[in-house]
Amino acid sequence: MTQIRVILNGESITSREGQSVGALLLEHEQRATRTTRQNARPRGMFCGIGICFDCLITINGITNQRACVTNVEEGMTIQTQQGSGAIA
Amino acid sequence: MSTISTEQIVVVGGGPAGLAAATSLVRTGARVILIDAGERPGGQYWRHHAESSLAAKHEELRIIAHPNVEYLAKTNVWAATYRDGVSTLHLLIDGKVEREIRTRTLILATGAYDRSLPFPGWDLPGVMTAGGVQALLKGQKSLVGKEIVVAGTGPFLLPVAIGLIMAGVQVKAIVEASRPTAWFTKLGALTHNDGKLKDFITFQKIIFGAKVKIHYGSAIVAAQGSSCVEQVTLAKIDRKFVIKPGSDRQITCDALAVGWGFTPDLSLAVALGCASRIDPRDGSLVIDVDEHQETSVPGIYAAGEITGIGGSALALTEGRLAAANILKAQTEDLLRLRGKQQIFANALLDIYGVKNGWTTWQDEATVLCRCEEVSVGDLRKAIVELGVSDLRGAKLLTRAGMGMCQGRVCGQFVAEFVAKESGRQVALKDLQGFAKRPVITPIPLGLLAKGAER
Repeated sequence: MTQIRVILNGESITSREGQSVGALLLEHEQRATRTTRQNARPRGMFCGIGICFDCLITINGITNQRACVTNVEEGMTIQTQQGSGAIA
Repeated sequence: MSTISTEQIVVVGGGPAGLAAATSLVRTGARVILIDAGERPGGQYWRHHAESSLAAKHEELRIIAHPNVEYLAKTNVWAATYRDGVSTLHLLIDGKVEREIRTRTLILATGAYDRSLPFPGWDLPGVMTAGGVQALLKGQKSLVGKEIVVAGTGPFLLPVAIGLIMAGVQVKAIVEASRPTAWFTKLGALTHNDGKLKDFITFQKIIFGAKVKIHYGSAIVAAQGSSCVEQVTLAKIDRKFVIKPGSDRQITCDALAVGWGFTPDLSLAVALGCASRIDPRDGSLVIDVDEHQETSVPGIYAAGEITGIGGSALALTEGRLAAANILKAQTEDLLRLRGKQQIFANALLDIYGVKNGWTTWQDEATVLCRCEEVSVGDLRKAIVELGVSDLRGAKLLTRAGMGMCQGRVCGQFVAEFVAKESGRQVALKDLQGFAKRPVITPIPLGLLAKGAER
């Protein structure tokens, strides 16, 4: 299994090819990918298959990506987000 | 210019129905474009990770390598139109490339996703759909927690719980809303499908062996926690899903897998103009097909869960039947098999039915629309003070269903909530209004500006 380096909230960590961003976060005990826009409630993966758009996260500077259906890539920068996408 | 290929048949959806259709078609020499959102074929039912040997067991999963198949993985149909017998599909491949294809013969097998019901705390991280928990396990070997409660209704809960047990998770409880006695009136249906009975007995043995208790006639009606779920409330419910007073107690856990059956994903079929109807068995919106699996739009066929929830075996048969009809092949045996499988599916939907007493589980602050953070209080205010009586009104005045999921999660239960508060049944136009999604999945504006590859 090919090892991949990614940066999660500023920290360099090891992932592997084929791993989803959502699964990587769970491996690092990070359940929430973001807080909501209005009430700042924590949210994480819910449907797990790309339907619900709850596990939104900022990837390589692009906000509101789905953690459950996005696979890691070498050098990827992943940032949990606050509200509509200000970096947490 | 895009080319119209009359001989090229397009199948959308790489689950059992779509794969079965593609397999039948290429056997006779037809050429097929198979479009699937997943990174590997299989859909939800045959979801597997990269090193899995599942493809060795099922010919359908290997069909993607056939020279007559053009297999497009990680591909979403983001928009679609139908005109003069030709369907035009706008594809977004791997989130990066846009492409447009046209066909005169289209098979839609877009499947289903977990049906959800709202309850206090269901928006907490760690609360996931049963299908989502299983997708993580099967596709990623990833676990959402270490002490998990599996709840909701339906035969799907048992394999989810067993998958977790096998992966070393402590399954704290299995909570099933129906009662085992419901099967007594349906024993006839089992004779149509004895393989399923054997599965059921095997499942029960494993669960008993792992000392996991199944709570029947019960539901998880609330979840509590600060940054993620820490405990859930288990309560006994009556046959209408109303909580029995004083029956509630807390279970400590770090995750909840909850599923209330499935909701067909009709976005693409509706965009192409295929007629839909409310399935009286479970109240979901489904695509209307004739006995040949053809929709109201000539040349567009539908197979699997979008024609009514029925499980993978029925989906396989429907996919083969759609292909047989396109090929003008013999269909008698398939029709007979489909009939038997439908009897079994009907029994399951009846036994594991969702009753509208769930509308008593919430408090005013409970989130209904997760995307737009619309609460029960917000919706009730719109109904009582602003006179909202249908789903369209609820959407316009509360924003329920207007977020990024486009009502896929909340559409059906918001419709049921509004209908119940207004003292009526859910109307076809309620659900149809929510299923219209001209942009089916999000597409980067930069790609749109660049134009499609043809």
